[in-house]
Amino acid sequence: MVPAGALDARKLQVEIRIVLRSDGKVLDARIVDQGRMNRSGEEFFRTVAESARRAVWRASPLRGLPPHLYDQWREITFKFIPPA
Amino acid sequence: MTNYRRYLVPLRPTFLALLLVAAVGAPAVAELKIDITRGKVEPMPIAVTWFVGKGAEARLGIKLANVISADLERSGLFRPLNPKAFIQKPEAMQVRPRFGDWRQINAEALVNGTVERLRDGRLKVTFRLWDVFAEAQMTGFIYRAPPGKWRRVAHKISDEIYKRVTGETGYFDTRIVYIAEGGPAKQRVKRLAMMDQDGANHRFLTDGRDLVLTPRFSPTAQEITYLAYYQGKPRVYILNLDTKQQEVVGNFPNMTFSPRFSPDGNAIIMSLATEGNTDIYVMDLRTRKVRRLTKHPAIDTSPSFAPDGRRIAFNSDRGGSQQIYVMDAEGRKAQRVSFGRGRYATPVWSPRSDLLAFTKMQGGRFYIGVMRPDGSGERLLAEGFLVEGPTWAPNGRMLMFFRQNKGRGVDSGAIKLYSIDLTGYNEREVVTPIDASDPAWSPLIP
Repeated sequence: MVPAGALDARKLQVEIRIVLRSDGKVLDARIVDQGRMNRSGEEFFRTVAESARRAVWRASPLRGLPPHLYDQWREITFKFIPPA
Repeated sequence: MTNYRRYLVPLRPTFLALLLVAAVGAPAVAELKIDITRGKVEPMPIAVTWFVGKGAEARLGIKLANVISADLERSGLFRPLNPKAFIQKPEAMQVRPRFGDWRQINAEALVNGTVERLRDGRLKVTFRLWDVFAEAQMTGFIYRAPPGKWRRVAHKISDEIYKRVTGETGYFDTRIVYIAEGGPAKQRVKRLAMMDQDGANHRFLTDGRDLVLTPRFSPTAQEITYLAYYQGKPRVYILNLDTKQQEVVGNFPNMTFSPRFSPDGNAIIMSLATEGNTDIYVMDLRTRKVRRLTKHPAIDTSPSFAPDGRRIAFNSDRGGSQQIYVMDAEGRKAQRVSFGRGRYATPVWSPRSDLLAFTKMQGGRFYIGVMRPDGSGERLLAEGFLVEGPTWAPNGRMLMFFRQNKGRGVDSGAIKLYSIDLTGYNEREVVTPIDASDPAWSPLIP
C-alpha cells in the first residue's frame, strides 16, 4: 500500500533489484536503498518500498520474456515512481 | 495523502516482452532498468489466524481474530482471507510459519498469536505480523490485560498491523459518542450514547429527560463537551467518560451553540447569541473567563481549532451566504476559504491539520466533503437527502457522519451513522440500536 498525494512523490521513489530464473520466476527481490528501511522518520519510504517489493513477488513468474536474451534480463531493476 | 495505492507491476506478457525487447535492443545497456508509475487501489490480502489457546482461551482466540479481521476489513485497506482456506493450522506454526502454504492462498501478510490465562487472572496475548513474500516478521507484541478488556487488546493489535503496513497511526482502539434518537417526530427523545468504534459495548449515558446536542471529544482525553437543555435553557457540560464525572461549565443566559474543545483541552470554543447576533467566544476552563473572538453583525458559528491552536475555522454568512472562514486564534484576519457553489457549514479541522471536513448544501442535496485549510482541493466524499456532522478519526484518514434517508419503505426517515475514508470509496454503515445522529470520534484510548 502506497500513500499517494500530498507527500513529495520524488522522495518516495523506490528501486527493487530482481533476479529471475530462465522461466521468469522471481528468485530474489531486493530493496536497493537498505539504509532508509530502518531509519526513523522514514516509515513512509518503508511502506512504499515493501509495497513495491510485494508487487514484484506477486507478478512472479514473469511471462513472455525472450529466452535467447536471458542473460540480459536475468537481473532487472524496477524503479517505482508514485503518482504525483 | 489522499488515498492508498498498491503497486501492481503491469507485467502482462506482451507489455513486458515489448518493453524488454526495446530495452535490450538498445546498444550498450549495462543494467536493465524499468520505471513503474502506475498503482492500483486494491486492499491487501491478509490471513488473520485464530490465536492459539487452551480451553476457554481457545474460544477467545477465535474471537480475537474475528475482531481484528473485521477492523482491518472495514478500513478498506485490507482483505482478510477466509479461514476455511488456510492450509497450515495456527497450532502448527508457533515457531515459524510455512510461508509456501500462505503464498498458495495468496496471503501477502499473515497474523498469528497466542492467548493464555495468567495466574493473576489476566490474559496474556502475543501476536506476530509476517511478510509472506519476504518470509520475515514485520512486528510483534505482547499484551497483558484483564479478561474484560479482550476487545481492546484486539483493537490495539489491529492498530499495530495498520501502522506497520501503512506507515500511519491506527484508529481502532477508539470510541464513538453520539445522539441516540427515539420516539415520534414531535416528541423526540435524545440521549447521549457511547460505543466502541466498531459498534460493540453500546451503552446510554443520559436518561433522555433533557434534550442533549452536539457531543464533542477533547483531543487529549476521554472527555466530551456537549449541550443539554435544563429547564428549557441550554447549558454546556463536560463529561469524563471514565469517571462519569459531569460538570456544568457555563450557564449562559442566551442561546449557545456547538461547543468544542481547544487542542490542549483547556478551553472551549463556541458561539453565543446576544441581542440577536451570534458570534464566536472562547472560554478558558481553568479561569472560566469567556472572551469574545468575533464581532460581526453576521451569524458566526461552528468554530473548530486547528490542531496547533493557532487558527480557527468557522462558518459565517457575512459574505451573503453561509461559507467557511479561517481566522487566527484571537479572532483576527478572518478570510473566506470556501468558494464553490452552494452553502458550506460546520468545518472540522483534521487532527493531522492537512484538511477541513465540512457539510455542503447545494441543489437540494447535502454533501460531506474535505478541502485544504486554504480552500483548495475540495472533494465531496458522501451525499444524501441529509448528511451532516462530520467527525474525524484520530489519524485523520476516516470520517464519521450521519445520514437521514428520504423515501418509502422501512428505512424512510431513519437516521444512521456512516464511516467513510478519504478516498470516498469505502463507505460503511455503523450499526446502532436506534436512530443515531451527531457522532463524535474519540482520540486513541491511552
